Amino acid sequence: MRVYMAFLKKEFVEMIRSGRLVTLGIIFMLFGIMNPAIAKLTPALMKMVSESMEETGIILGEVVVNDMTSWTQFYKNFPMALILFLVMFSGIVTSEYQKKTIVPMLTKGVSPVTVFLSKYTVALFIWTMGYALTFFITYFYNEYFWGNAAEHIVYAAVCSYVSGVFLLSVMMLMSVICEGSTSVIVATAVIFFVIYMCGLIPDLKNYLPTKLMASNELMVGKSSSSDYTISMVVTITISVICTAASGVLIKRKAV
Amino acid sequence: MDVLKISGLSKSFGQNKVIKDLNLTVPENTIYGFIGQNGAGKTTTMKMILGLLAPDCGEIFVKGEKVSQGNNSTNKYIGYLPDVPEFYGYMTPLEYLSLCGEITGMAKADIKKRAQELLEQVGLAGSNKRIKGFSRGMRQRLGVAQALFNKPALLICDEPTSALDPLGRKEILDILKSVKGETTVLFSTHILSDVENICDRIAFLNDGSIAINGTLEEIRASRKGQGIEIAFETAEDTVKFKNTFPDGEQKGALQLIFKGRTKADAASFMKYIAENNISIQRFEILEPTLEDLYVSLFVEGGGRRSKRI
Repeated sequence: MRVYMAFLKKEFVEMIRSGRLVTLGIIFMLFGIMNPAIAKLTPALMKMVSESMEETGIILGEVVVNDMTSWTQFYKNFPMALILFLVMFSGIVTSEYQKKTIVPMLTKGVSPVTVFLSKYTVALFIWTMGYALTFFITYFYNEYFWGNAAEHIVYAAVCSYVSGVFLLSVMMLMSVICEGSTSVIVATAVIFFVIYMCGLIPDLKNYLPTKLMASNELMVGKSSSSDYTISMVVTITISVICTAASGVLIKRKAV
Repeated sequence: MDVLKISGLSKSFGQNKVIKDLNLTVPENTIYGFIGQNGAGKTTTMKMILGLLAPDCGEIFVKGEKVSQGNNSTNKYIGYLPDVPEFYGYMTPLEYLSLCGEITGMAKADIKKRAQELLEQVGLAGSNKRIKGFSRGMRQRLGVAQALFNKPALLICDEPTSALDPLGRKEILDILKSVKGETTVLFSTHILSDVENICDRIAFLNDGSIAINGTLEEIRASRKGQGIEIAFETAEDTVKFKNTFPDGEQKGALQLIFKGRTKADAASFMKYIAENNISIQRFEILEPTLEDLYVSLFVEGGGRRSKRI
């Protein structure tokens, strides 16, 4: 525990001094502001477009925006925020092994598992905080402008958050298996692509982590919260298995 | 007591067998020179001692505890200085050493005291800038400090001086000399003058196994003397001596070199000089250097011989 706490502190210092924490904070904040801002600006933008379109004979009707417009934007932007987050953390394990900064630590008796767990904790913490920041900024702006009338807002958000945790766990496992950050990203993308393709099969759709990424359907009543239960259990189970496998494999990772 | 014991160690990378049945014992409180050419397997052996690499077969014991890869518990006895140590560049030396203390379970007050003591010892006491701005020599000195932080029973140094300028080399060697008595040092290098400067015992690693090992004196004594060199005061004495001992090779007007002559021959030479009132400037028994030994082992002998002294 002592070593874990010491390493956790080291990881946070690294996040702060490398500027990654501020960068991610700004990214998540911008995404949070962007969702209601786009929704709010949509009527004005449509009006501008409609004036020029009228000359060509196309008439656009009045656009009605509400909190749902902003939440739709939230789920459209979610993959981009997740990708940026994963890219920024793709070298968290591999860079230590490539630069050999891990060597003095391991040669002092520190277990590679402890090193891995501290890194995973920091990544998970930042993902949680970043996601919460984006969610609450969107939530409060929505409340201010239109009031949050959509259904299952929190459960839908938890579903997409868990899908982010799943991809983070996969990426951390790839960080243990692969040697460089590029191969980590490529391997994670390939795994996601395979799961996504499997998700196109109707019989499998409800069992896969990709189901959680479409949780915005909950808010418009296209699905019920129980539709996500199996997918949630499967996703959390795979995430735990990935983390346990990482702990086993990092012991064998050659320095 | 032996700090390190390696028996029957072998390691291959694909088809390439790097270490072949290596056996080595390092006694306490010695500076042990681990000599070998580039690619001889020095770093691979050290990585296996540190549990960073799994051997194909054989066993390694540090202070009687068996080393196993991934479970680094024996590393609590070890301090390691890599050839080019890499640190977290965003930290100051004091912060880095504090991290070293925290992960080895030292109390806060002890960490601060030990860190300041070591920074003083390696000449980095006043340096508060971040490590990323450090020169190679400063990094190496910080490397020594971090390796010594938890007062290890065994300090493993992997070619610590090979990337340094002469001044940097001297600084590192002085530090290593100063810790003798507190810790046992296993020091890999191919710079033979460094070995002659600080090592008590040496082992030559060639082609994946120990070709020869023992104390510096034992190894020197086991080799034939290189010869005797005499510098005379006058040319007449030089000629007179050469007439009596015709195998002497003349070097200039006043010097004779007797190649292959030993300490026993030196006594008869001295006796002749004394009996004939010959004046000399210098009388020197030429000892074989490590370089001679290295050449005879690795170049002339092909490095295949194995000898325990």
